Amino acid sequence: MLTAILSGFFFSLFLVFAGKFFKGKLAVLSALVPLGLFVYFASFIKRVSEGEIITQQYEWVPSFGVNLNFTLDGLSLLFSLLITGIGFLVFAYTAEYLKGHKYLDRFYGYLGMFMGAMLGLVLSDNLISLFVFWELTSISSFFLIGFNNTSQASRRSAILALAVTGSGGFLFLAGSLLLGGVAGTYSITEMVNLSPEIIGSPFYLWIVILLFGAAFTKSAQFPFHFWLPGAMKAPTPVSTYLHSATMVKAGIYLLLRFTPVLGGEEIWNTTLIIIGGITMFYSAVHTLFRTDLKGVLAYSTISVLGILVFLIGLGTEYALTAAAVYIVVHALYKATLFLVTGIIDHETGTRDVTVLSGLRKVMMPVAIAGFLAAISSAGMPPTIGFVGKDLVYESTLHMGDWSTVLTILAISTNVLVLYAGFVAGIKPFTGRLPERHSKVHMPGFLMWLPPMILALLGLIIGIYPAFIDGPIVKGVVKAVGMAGEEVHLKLWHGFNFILLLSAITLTLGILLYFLLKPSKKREKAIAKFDFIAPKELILKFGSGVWHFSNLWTRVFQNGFLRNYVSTIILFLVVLVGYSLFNGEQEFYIDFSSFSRMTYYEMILMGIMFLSVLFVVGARSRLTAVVAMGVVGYAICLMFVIYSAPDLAMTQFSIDTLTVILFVLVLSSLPKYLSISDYKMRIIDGVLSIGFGLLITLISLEVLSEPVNKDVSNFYADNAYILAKGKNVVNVILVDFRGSDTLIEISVLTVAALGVFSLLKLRLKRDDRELKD
Amino acid sequence: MEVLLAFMIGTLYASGIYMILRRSLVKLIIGIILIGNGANLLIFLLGRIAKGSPPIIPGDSKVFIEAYSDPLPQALILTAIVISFGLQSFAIILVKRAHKVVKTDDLDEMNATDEFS
Amino acid sequence: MELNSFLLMRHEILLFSIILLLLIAELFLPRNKKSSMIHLALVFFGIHTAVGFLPLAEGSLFGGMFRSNEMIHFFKGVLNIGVFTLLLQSAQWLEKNMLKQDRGTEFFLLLFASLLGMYFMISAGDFLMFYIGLELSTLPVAALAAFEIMKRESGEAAVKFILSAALASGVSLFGISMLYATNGSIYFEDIMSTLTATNLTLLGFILFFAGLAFKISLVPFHFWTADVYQGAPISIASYLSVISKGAAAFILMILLFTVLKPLMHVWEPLLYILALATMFTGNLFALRQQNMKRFLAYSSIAQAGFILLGLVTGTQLGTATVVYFVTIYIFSNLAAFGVVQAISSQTGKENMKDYEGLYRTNPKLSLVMMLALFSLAGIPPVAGFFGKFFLFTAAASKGYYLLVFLAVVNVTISLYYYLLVIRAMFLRKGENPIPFFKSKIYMKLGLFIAVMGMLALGLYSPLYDYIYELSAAFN
Repeated sequence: MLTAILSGFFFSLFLVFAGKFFKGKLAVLSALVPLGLFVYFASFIKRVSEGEIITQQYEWVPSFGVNLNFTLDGLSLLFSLLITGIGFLVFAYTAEYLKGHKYLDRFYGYLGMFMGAMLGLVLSDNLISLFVFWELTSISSFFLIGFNNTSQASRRSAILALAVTGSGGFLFLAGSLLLGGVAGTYSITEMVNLSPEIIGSPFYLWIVILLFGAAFTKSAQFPFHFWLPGAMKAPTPVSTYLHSATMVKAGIYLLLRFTPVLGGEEIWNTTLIIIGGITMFYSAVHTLFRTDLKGVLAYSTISVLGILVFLIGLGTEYALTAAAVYIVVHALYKATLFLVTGIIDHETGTRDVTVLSGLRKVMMPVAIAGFLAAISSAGMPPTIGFVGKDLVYESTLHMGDWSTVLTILAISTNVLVLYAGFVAGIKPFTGRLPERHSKVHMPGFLMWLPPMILALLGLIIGIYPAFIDGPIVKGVVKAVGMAGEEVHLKLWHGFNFILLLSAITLTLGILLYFLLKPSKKREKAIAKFDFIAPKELILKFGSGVWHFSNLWTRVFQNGFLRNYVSTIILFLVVLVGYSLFNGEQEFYIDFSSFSRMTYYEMILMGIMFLSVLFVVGARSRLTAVVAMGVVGYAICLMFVIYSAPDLAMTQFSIDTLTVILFVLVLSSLPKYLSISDYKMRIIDGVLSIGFGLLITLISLEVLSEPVNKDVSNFYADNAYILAKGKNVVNVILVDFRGSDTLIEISVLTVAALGVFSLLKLRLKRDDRELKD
Repeated sequence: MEVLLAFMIGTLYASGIYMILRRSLVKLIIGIILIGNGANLLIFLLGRIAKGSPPIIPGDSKVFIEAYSDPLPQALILTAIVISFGLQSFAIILVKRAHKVVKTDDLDEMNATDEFS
Repeated sequence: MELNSFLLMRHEILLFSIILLLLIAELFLPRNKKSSMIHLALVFFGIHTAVGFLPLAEGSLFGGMFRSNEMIHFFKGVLNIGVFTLLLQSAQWLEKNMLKQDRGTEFFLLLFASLLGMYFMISAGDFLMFYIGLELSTLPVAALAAFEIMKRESGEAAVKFILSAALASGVSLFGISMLYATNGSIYFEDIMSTLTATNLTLLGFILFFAGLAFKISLVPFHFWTADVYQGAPISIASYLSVISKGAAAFILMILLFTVLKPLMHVWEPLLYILALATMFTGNLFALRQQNMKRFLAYSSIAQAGFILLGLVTGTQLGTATVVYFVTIYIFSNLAAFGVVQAISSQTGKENMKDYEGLYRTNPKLSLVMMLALFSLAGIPPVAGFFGKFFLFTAAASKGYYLLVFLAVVNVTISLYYYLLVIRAMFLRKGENPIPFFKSKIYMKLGLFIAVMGMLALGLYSPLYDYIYELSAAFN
């Protein structure tokens, strides 16, 4: 199975190098890749339908429990067949649709990557590898939507789609981590057995919320549905493949996959029913207001996704069977309709349904495919759509108290879906052929055959539902934790209540189709309400974040070093103050241990204090520098008094050097500035005095603590014995800690080097000036 | 005495911070030097001060006989003084050069920062 | 002391010799042959990098002042590769701009001196050694930031950097002296056994922490980052964000997990809050950025927040994930800065707007950039994803679910702004896109190493297991 997944990636890698040979006539050969995979997966149908679960394991990062575990059960098999089967048709279709396109090889590359990722997604048993593939599908979708990147709308949609589905992906990651933490494993198969513990854990609610976030964004559920209509800017094969048949169903796949792990709880079912219900009805209504064929199809796709979520929410065996059948139904007829739309667009150059009519006269086979798909979407017998719709009604009718409401909701949605199917599949072909389309001709067989095949399949399995019942649908139902004994697919159930409901649906739908023609006026009218649509609200939220980020940056990152410093100091004062007065110990100062003051010490302190004041208040640079020098000398004297002769010497020489350097170097600077205003100075003064006060308190407290002098004593005791030196400070510097001193010298050297490198530049320039 | 010394250290720090918050580059460097002095004194004070007993072993003995002041903080401070000199001298030259290029001593004019689009 | 015990300092000794050799070469090379300096430095450092991967014993020198173990050795090796890649990427810029002013050699000397400082910091066994290493690694960078002093921004950047650095190291020294005063020793070994959470040690810790926080640019010590990155030459911005930050994060980890372990109940909540503040601030700043250097600066602030996520755990899993993440971060950011460097040294363009339509004219560069940004954003299957995923797992394993969730929110925000660059490169056409150009061989090699690093770390999992084994040394 790993080979199957990787073959998609290898295919696109291959195209990177050999792409130029596949731009022309050979392009159609690339369809052999999905065809081969389809045959491969089809060969498993028998084994899987007998209840076998095929697994393969590869270690990836075993220490984190991240492995490439693949399982092929009924659910995975259904999706794999869809991905490769429709993939095959789409690949072939593309060869004609984009014939001669400059970047055809790239397009196939992205498609191959997507196919590999999607297969990986539905086959992964490990949550993390599932996430990896999940994000890969978003990324390849990003490139495919942006493929027509000449239009701004296309770029916007690409980034919007990736932002929505990509963020959803990260919600999935968060959910997976939580789930992995609770279950102790990332394997979904193992989680099924741990289901009671997971449901019982305090994080259950969070897990469900996060996974819903992922599924709803990917499968375009309200209120995140808005990216899907935008994604229709992609070339039609992409819309067919990703945005109706496979990728958008990844969310549905996820929900089905986790039904046996997380399902059965009230929060799970109710949320899904509500969100699915809103989505299916809301977007079905939207189809009434669209005139772009792809727009109509996009909203009806969202609506069907809503139905699927709704069915998973119902959660009965009937509902889940209905969901499985509906996935097949929808894939077949919606892909057909998209491909047909692509043909119309390709041949006539427009997708505006208000100007399209009578095309059956020039492209009969396409018209037949469109018609078959339309009646399947309407749920007319003998198509598979009829079987699917019956199952939906069957499951809503079994919902006890709520059955009436839910059934009415389902009926009205189906009426609108029927309308959308007719508009897309029948409307362009009926009526009179307008003059300007009379020259339109049939597309090549590569384009009309794929939709035909799909449409006929819908008809055939409608007549013989047993084709998919045993081999596939049962497998799905078992994979989501049901017995799979209750429901059997049949085209004809006899005359009963459900048949009546079907008849009502059909009548209402067809009436609606004949009464309400698509019109531009309506489209414009609904556009007025865009400002309260979820898309606008979310975009507004986005721009709100944007403005906040502007403000935040303007306030903090303002380029003024002073502000940076004062923010840091303020932070330190708060933190230090907090830890000083809020620690576990009480703050105390032991005055008794301090030594007595003598008068010369007091004089020295007085001098120092005064010169510090001079430094701060000086109006000329020279005064400030000299006063600073005095402070240094006073410290030097202090070192003398307190028995540190080495320090005194160092301090003296360094202080002198600094003052000299200052005077020499800075003499040419402009007037000594005193620019800050009064208010600023007060604020700064308060801040700095606060800081100084803290320092004083801290040092007093430290002095009250007992001190440990082991290391010092060691040095002092061994200075002469080990190192033959009597000045302990010197011995420490050059012997005990000689390597530090060596590095210290390096620091000085580097500083000198830096100074040199700065000054050299001026020498150079002066040279040049002289020469000039 | 320690109280006074601690107060002095606080003063040095406060004035240093105050100077750093000025707009003139030169004041900024002076501020940094003041803080450096404060830090050195602080380490010195925390190693406990003692009068008239330098950490030098008397001429005729091999180990200390009487009390002596702690040598380790002194070694620390010596390192710190030297290093901060390196830093300061570099900063001074840099300010000088920057002044040549930027043509100002006012920090507030050195604020090439985010541009808003 | 045995002479061959000095071999423990092999990295340091070799690098020091290279510095000396370059100095000598500078004296003897004739003026018109200065460009061979670049080749010379590259060859020397290449050898140094290669030799660095030979196995090295564990142990300590000078009575515990200097220590080394396999993890330290490994990380120095990573830093070496990083610096080597950086040098390769800077060669063109140096040749074009700096040789004219006869400033090529200083670039190498200062850069190597700073790296030497990093080595000492990493290997420090006591606070004094650590402090000197800190200064040695910082000071040359200030000189380097001022390297294009004739540009206004460069001077400004240097001034801002040196002043912030001085403040940070001052505060840090203050903290060290507090720790000394309460424990009576500066040796990590001694302090580890005597450290208790009194008010004063807490203070010492907080102030000391500020010094490193400045290097990693954690909020609120991050302010200098963007201004300096923008003004400094790209090589230096890259060095600051990749090598300097990576090393500082590593050191912070060592210190927190060994010496400061007794204070864990203090630094845990502190890091928790700082991680959140740093991630959000970095991301909010990056969101609306136009200049690529500033953009990468903010994004690297956000990345620092993620690093804290692993530190906050204090477990062996935390150590391993942090080292792994930092290593990936080094390669990813090098790739991103490499592309910025390549484009800037060819055309002088540094704005996101200039990148529009890059895919059409320079597909390879834009692919490298895309990989790098995906890796930084944490999008699978590039290495960055695993880095983040492991960090999240580590944090989640300690029960920090809220923190992980907020981090995921941040990943989502960051996804958006990384996408803006990708959109500019791939989807926009651009009014006057950067014309096609061929990079020099050094630049190609530099980008190649970075990309290989990203891919290898992402796809070859035994590397992680290796790091995990090594990380036992700190727990």
